[in-house]
Amino acid sequence: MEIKDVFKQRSQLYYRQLGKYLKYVFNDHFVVALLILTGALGFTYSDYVETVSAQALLPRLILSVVLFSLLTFGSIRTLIEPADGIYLLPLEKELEPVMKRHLATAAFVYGAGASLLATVTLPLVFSLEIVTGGTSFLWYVMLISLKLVDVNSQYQAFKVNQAGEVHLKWFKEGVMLLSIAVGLFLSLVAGTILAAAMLCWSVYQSLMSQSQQVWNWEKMIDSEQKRIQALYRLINLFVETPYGSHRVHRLKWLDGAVTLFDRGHSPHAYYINRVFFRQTSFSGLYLRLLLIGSVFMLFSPAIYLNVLVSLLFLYLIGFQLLPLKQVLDETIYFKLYPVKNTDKIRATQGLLARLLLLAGGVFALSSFGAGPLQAGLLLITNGLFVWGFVKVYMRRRLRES
Amino acid sequence: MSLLVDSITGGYSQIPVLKNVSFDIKDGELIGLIGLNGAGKSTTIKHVIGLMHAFEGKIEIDGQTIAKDPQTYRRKIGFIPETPLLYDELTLKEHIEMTIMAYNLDRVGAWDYADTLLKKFRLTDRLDWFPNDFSKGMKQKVMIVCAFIIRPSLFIIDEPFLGLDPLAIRDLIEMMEEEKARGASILMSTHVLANAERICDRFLVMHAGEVFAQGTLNELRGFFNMPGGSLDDMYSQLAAKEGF
Repeated sequence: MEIKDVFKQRSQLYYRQLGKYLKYVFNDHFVVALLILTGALGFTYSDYVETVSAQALLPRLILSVVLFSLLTFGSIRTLIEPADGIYLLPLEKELEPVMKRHLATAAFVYGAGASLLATVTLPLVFSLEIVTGGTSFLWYVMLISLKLVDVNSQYQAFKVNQAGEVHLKWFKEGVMLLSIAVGLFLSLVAGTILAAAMLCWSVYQSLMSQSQQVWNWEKMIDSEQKRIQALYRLINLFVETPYGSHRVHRLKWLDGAVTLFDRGHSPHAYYINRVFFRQTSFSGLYLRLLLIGSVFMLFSPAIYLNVLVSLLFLYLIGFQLLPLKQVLDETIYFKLYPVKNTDKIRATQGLLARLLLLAGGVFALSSFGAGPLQAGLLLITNGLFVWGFVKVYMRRRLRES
Repeated sequence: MSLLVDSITGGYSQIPVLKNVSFDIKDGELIGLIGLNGAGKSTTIKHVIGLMHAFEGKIEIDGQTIAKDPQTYRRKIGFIPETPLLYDELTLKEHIEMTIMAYNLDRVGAWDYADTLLKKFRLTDRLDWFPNDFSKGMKQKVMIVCAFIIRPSLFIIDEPFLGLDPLAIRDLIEMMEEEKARGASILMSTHVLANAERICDRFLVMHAGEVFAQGTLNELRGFFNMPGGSLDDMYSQLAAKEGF
């Protein structure tokens, strides 16, 4: 088997896997919701475009930020695996055509993405009079060129050493920002020329330096791992993926908060407390749901809706944090420690009770706008719900598993 | 008598790996558990620490079995696994805190001892780091610190020397000697025969899930019929038996 076949096999597996996940992501409900959302957004956008005056500064600034962040988004799919850094090491030359194909695929896919972006933003740049009837193709050329510069420099980064890589990244992003700014604020023609020149220079550079550089395996592995993890994290909102739960961050500044949550002398509680804070899959989720729920309640005046949403969010938070018990189950040390098995459930209950009560309090505070009485009512229902969730539901559910 | 393993048969799901294994370790004794890969050393260890349960036979530490009182039984063991096993989410300091909590140690005394060991292993300035990002040898040192502060009556140490620098090996051997003097028993599995020969009081040679031979170095020499032979020579004979 040749290396080419290895990657062919991998990409088959990758797309099969991705297809399986996407089937779950784009379930009927989500598609309907997405259609409605897209429709509503499109409607608002077209309304907005009509009101924009040609000299307006703010839409240009927003557009610059949106373009820059979208054009630098996404990385090349290489399907390089961590073990390749050992096993495929001798295949320095043989990797070249494989990676070239990955580059071509990325250029094609992201090029298509950039032209889609150009199409979507075209009405706006028309109203801003950046583009006129005859020059709209320049808009496409500029965005696609910039995206290709981004893709090509990502590819180059697979080859150079770390010091050069930082320079390359700064340089690339600087030129991209400059082109966008020139194109939006001064002249589209100048911006396009700048972008196209940058693309030519970037391709020329890579052709010149190609033969004398070796692959930076660590960088390739790291970048592919990051890409896969980001993808899985996204899909994980809909269906369980093998998304690394082991992404741990030290978050030293949180140490104070962590110790604030410490109660008593249970090693179980001590441990999952830190798991919650430092595994961002747990704390990030909690924070996200807390934020979305609070923002909703800040702006919703109807108390019944608030009660409903508050309970829903508390349930979602609680439900998503239940796997903390599983973390304890899977840790071999808790089989070796001289401690009782029931402490695991108690520790999980304790942490969840505190987290949910905190969230319930924040929700009640956020709905203060609806009136102090309503907020008080929400606080009481939240408290009752947390009590029921922790004392009744969790006990039954965790004992079963 | 500290550890008593009495004719245990056990393994993974009804297929016995260990066959009728018996041995004991007295207070203050260091036993070297040796044998080729796959001889059953790790399985024996898993049975002793209670991660696996024997189909037959019994294991006692100071007269306690795991079935009768798991908490007391477990408190008696300090275990250093072959591959360092650390919490992804905890710092070095928190690993020590966890150990203190789990084994209900006296905080002040335990930290006192821990500080001495950390200093010896040059880990003091890493207290706020995640040990999971350490090198293999440094991880091993963390495991050693956490096991020693328990001051258990039985140490179970699986391949302690791998990855340690010579300085740390010397320190570890010294620490083991101190613990022995305190009356602790040690079961140490290792392939580093030169070290084993130097420090072990007795040896347990395992082969194909059975105790092939046990005794002091002199007794083993008699058993293998190799007067003046080293453990290395006996290993070679064992390997020859396997057909290598």
